[in-house]
Amino acid sequence: MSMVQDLGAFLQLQAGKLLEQTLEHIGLTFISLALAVLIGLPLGLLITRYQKAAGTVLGTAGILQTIPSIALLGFLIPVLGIGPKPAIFALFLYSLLPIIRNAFTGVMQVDATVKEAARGMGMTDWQLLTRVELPLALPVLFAGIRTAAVLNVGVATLAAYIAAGGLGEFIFGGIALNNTPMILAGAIPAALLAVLIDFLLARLQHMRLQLLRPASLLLALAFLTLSSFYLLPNSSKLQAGLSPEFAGRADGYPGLHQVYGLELNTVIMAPALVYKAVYDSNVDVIDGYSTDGKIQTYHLRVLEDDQHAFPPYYAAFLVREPVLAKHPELQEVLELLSGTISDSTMTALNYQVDFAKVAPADVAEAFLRQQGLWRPSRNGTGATIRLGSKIFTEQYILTEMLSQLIRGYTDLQVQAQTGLGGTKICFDALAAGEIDIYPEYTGTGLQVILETPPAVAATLTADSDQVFRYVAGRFKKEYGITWLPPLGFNNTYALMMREEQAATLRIKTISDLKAYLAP
Amino acid sequence: MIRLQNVSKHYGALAAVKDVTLEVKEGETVVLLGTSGCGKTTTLKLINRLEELSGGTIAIGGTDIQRQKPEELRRQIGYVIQGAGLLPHYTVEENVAVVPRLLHWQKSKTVTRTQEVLTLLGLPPEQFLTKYPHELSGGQQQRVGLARALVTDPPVILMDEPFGALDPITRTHIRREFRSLEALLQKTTVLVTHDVQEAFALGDRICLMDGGKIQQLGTPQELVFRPANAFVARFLQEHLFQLQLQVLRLRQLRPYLPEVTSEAATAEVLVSETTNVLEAVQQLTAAGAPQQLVIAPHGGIPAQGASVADLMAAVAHLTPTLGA
Repeated sequence: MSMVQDLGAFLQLQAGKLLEQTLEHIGLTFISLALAVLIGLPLGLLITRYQKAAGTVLGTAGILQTIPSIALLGFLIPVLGIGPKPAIFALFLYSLLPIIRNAFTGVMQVDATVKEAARGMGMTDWQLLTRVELPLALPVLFAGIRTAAVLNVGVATLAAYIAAGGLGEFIFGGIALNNTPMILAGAIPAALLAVLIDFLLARLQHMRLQLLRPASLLLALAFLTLSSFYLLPNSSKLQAGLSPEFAGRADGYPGLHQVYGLELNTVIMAPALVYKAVYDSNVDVIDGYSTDGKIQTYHLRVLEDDQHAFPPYYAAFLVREPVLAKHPELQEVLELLSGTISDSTMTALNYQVDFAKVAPADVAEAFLRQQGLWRPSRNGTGATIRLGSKIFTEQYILTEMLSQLIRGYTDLQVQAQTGLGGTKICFDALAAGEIDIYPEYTGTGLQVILETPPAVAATLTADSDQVFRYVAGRFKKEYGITWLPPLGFNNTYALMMREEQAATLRIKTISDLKAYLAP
Repeated sequence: MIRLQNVSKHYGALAAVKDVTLEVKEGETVVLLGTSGCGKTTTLKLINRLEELSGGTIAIGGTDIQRQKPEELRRQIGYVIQGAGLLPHYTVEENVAVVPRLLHWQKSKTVTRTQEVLTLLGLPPEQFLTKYPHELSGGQQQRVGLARALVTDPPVILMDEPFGALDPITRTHIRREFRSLEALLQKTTVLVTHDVQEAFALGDRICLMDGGKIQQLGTPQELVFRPANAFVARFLQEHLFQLQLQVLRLRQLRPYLPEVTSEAATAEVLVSETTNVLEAVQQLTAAGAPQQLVIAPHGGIPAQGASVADLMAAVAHLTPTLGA
């Protein structure tokens, strides 16, 4: 019951967005369908006349059909980029087979006697096609269009992965945020749309033969109208491409909107695609993580969050108190790194691992040497300290630095358990005493582990020190876990633009962006 | 009217029609008869170029058919096929009006003529014009098919198993109607069938084919009494007695029948001397009580009476004189 209420509340709140996405979805479905009819129908009719080519044409269309849709979108990105073009093209390819095949079968199954009579009366081949074969093939033809349409409604949800909009935006956003009402808000309308289109086209398919001619005209007209839904004018100066989680999270885009009054013209796409999309100028503004190595790769500018809409995510090591009490020498070693790593340094380190393909251990060592902190391993035989890390580059590098320091400065041994998945797994392992230390972020501690109510969180986030003190205090009290002093960098959400464009438009901060969009 | 000169048709190495020469006179009905695969349908389709010639020539009204576009040629030839081949998405009216539309007739002329020809074929326009083929019986469909071929009043009509899809009772019925249809009698007609009795009922001449070749071309009587070869004799053997009765007219039996007294003539079944023997016997049997039929007087020859036994005896006397 509460799910239904949640869904109702969500729909009420997002009615405008839902309508927009539904129209986009219908538009996507029908543009591609119209293209497929435009190409597939003549092709299907042509192969009734050149039957030697029928096998090849139907075979090719059949193979296209077997490519998994998500893979097809992937193949198209290098060629057509992201956005509507590859989405429409992919949907077009999927619609081809049923349309070609049914046009072909429809015409081929027209009673041979009827065809012979028509030819015997003196119809030309064109007259035979247009006056006899095509009208008689229409029910089968419509069945093909119907199949393609229903297929398209389903596949079109994937368009949200490549910034082409549609109801997939809610679905992927909902999956990213583990927000079931949001998933349903996309999935239910998509399913209803499929059922509705199927029903309407089925009516057409079973219509009496003599009504089919006006019906086909009507259908063509409907296709054009519905296609146009997608081409509604877009007047915004800058296009934003957001990952589903950022678009939906309270401390993501909705937070920006609340703090800055920022109104971006957004499209949703897969997180893996946003950097490339902005680099290729498919979009102008993206969300990302402020220390991501890709910022360097793609020459992006991180816009300063001058009004502190994003909570701070300062990195620091978490240590169990019993471990510190037992090995007091650790305290000093752990604090060696405090404040030494800036945002840009961490970005550069991530870049070296992700793109220059240097091993995390080598990157860590080079950094420590440069800081004058590195010492050779003492190959100690003391107790073993177990280090954990989540499953991404930055954490691997940090864990590696720490283990090199412990080995160089103490006689303790180190066992690294890297790649422990997400926050929940790492923290639970620490709390249960299965690991001793792992790197965490203040914002994550605040939001994910402590589940601080938004009202309380909002009072804290403007000041990063305040967040740290709050989090450290509660962790000590509730879990017996110590937050060491932050390492220096803030791996938080960030808005980014191409360096060049940002320089030209003189946008340095999010306030600048807001001012540029709505002077 | 239609002249086929050394006509042949090959499909690769397979010869479907071999060296067929045949002339159909104006107003004549020639039946192409044979088993399936004998080349009769191919021969028919060569005439309206649904199949193209491999060799030989065909001329209609003295004009070589190769000199016209196939479509234009076909629009001038009535074409009736098995199962009628009506366009299922057209009404009866639209179906009949197909060729007039192809010929760009004026609408009013098309309408008038369509109604005329439907009336002629016993399909009252007010009842049938707006019907669709699936709402008609097989016999009605075949009549619409016939109306469609007759609507432009073409001099030549080609028929491919026109009654093949009908049940035997409807078939006999329609065939009889068809034979008495004025509009058809003047047409030069080529009709294809595998049904021997149909061929003998409808053909002025019969062209019996086998293996793509003409085995015999002649009147029904010639085929029955003077078969050209063993194939023809064997082909007709099964139905021979019936066919003999069918091709013989009462007039031919007259010399072998007793004269009838004038008082008897009024009481019995009266038939014309042009009636064939089979039909005469059928009429007599159908009448029930009477033992005799009376052949109407004709051109000075008085009326003549005969029982079935008389007729059979006369046939037995006559047939030896007709052989080769």
